[in-house]
Amino acid sequence: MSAIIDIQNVSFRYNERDILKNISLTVEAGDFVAVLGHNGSGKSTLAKHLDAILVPSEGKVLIGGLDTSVDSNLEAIRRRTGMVFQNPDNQIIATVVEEDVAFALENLGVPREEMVKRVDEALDAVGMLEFKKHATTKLSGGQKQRIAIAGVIAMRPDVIVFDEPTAMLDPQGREDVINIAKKLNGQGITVIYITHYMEEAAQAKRVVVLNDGEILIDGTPHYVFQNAGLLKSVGLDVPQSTSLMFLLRSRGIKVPLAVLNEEECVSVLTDILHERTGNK
Amino acid sequence: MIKDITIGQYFPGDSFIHNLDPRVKIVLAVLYIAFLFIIQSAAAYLFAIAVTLFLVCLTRIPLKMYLRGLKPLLFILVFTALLNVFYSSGEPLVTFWIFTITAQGIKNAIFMILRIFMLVVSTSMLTYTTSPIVLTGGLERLLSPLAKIRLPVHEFSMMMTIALRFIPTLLEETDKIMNAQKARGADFETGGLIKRAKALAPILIPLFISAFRRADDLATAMECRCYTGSAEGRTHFVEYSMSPSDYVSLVFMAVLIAAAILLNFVTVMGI
Amino acid sequence: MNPILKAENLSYVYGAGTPFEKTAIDNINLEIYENEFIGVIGRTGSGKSTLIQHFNGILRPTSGSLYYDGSNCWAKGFSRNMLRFNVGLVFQYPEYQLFEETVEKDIAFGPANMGLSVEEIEKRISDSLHFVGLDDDIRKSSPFEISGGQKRRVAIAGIMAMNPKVLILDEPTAGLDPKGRDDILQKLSEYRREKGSTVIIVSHNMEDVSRVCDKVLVMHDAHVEMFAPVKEVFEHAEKLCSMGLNVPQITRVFVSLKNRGFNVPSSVYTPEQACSAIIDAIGGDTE
Repeated sequence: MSAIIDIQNVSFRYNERDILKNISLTVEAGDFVAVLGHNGSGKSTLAKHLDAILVPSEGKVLIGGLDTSVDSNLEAIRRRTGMVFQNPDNQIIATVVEEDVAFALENLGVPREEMVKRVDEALDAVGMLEFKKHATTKLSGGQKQRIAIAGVIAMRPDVIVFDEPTAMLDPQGREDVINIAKKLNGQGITVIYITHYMEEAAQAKRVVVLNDGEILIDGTPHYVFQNAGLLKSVGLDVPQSTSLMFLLRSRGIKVPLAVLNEEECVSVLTDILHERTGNK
Repeated sequence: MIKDITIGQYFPGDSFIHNLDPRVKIVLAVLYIAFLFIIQSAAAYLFAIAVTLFLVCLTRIPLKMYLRGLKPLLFILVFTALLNVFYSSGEPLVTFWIFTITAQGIKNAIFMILRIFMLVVSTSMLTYTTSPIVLTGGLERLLSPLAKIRLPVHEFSMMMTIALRFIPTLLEETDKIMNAQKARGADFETGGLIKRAKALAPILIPLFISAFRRADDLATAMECRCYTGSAEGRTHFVEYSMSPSDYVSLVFMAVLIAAAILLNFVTVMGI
Repeated sequence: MNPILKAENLSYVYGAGTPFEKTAIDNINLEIYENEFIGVIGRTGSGKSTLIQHFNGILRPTSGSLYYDGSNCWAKGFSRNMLRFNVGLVFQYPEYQLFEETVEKDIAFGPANMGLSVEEIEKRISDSLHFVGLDDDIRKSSPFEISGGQKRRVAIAGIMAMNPKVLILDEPTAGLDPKGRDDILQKLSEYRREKGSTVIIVSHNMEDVSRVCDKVLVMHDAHVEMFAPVKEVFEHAEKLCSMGLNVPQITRVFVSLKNRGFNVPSSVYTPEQACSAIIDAIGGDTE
């Protein structure tokens, strides 16, 4: 497998502040990487480097081998990488759903017949096909975000970068977005997913934690969330299930620490309860 | 209160008029305005009113909605009607003090009111039955020959699209900011001109900042979706093709104008 | 004791007479008392925001009445400005309402509108900065050049500076990282303890609500579905789930365990409670 994203010793300075400090990170095609970090840790700045909106002050970012600092690579990079941003209102260009989804295709000069097909496919992928003739302003935040994702999918990108896509959504909208991200990843799209929600990060294949412009820890969710103390020290948290495991451990009960979600937690607790209560 | 503004409002629907090609609709609207200026005689006016009401029925949007558009014009309407009543030449009907009312004056006033009424209805009809994006798209296509003489047609149309897209968002935001400042005891309703102008700062400053932030976000989002700012190599998602009903409508409009010219020579009850 | 806020058959209809007519809240009856800490939860469109905008007189009820400290807020002669100063409302993303050149001027906007003296305003600025946990050196900074979390706090301080008897916040932690969330909630708890005020937060996040509030108001389809102490509300965890509310992960775990036939309480919503519940369950039956 080849690295689709290759970040080499990247530093980024803005207003004489070091936002990113010598970051190196490679992501294999087909991976699902969650990026965590407190407000102002440099997550969004890093995300903007992946679509050549920002270019490094030092170092290099290669997307599919293309250097983001070379102007002639811009179109090819942006065609391969889609971005979904935090504020659903500020990334919708058209007033009708299907026209917004078609925007990138219009820019790329895709022929109309092909465009119609791809718009329908993309809307179907996010479960918004029935809304294709609707006005974009009348949709809920979660629905707008799904439209934004459809607009990106229609480009048929290899990588989708989600920059805190759920920060402004209600729980239903959040669940829809993370599920779509997982589904797209299942279809082979590489996903970079920036979030403040630990439960969302726990669903990734890999978690990278940024702190003050540096990579603090990088590994599988099970590995990363075992470091509860370290995460809390940089303003983050662990899922409630993981917290419970730490508490049970401290009371002398032997449980695995690497418990991230409801199912895992239920199964661990079921085992303890069976064992200790002699139930069965 | 701010949400009551109806300019450019669109009522989604599936009527005959809704489904016309936007380019045809724009041309028809222009021709209809011409038609309204051709009519002179009472017979022609009666005919025009019948046609206008018929068209309103065709859109399946209640007449009430059209009349709402007249409200802001009410003052001007009454004022000019009065001017017409008092300052027309002709046989005096009633005379008192310096005022003279003539039959001609009354006729002029009625005609003028009817004409403005029909003008408002027909232009509203265009925006009520055509979504703003389709309207700008149609306008861009109609004006596209002008791009050859280096007029920035694409840029203009993109600006219109974005403006139309963000007007509701910014109106909503204005409401929100006003409420937030009211919650801090801001008072927009009392005081002299200077006090009121000053009272706007807590609304306008956050609104501008927010508009710039949105513009910045949107520009980034557009770039990420491969927008380069030029019309070159772009294709269009919305395609317009003339259907039989478009041709029928154009013919209908030609007949209307011919009829108006003929009816101008017919007199009804001596008017 | 008299309720500080009381809603009587309160209803509000948006866009009455248009095709977009919608009843946002329908016949709401409730009483809120001094020094309570209430969490309002419900799905988007359940009427939460509409309800709280009635509490400070921004919205006028279509029917029914609202009473502040015993007086009808829409009766003749009732001062709505007085209501706004006594029921402080912090909107969602309040940092977007900041407009002054300096932090202190912005915080002073509310108190100045109240017509307070310069000395009193000065005192209110220091006090409210203290309540939101900001240092005095931030006073001269531009509210546009500080971090997002700080902006949020300055905006909240701007309402606190009016010394409201009831402080209402719509989604005060939206978009903040976990530490930012914890900090704000803790500051609100402290504020309520020291001031004796009523604090109401509207939130999608039941974990936030369960952590700091003593009562929960559950809105569903324009109605009040439940209004009870936190523990009682969580006893209906399954119902909350079926209403499409986002209950804490640990609550879902305990609902599952209970469904599997284990004798554990389902009204568990913090890891600490969960830990004690498990220890109780295994301690009781062994040896």
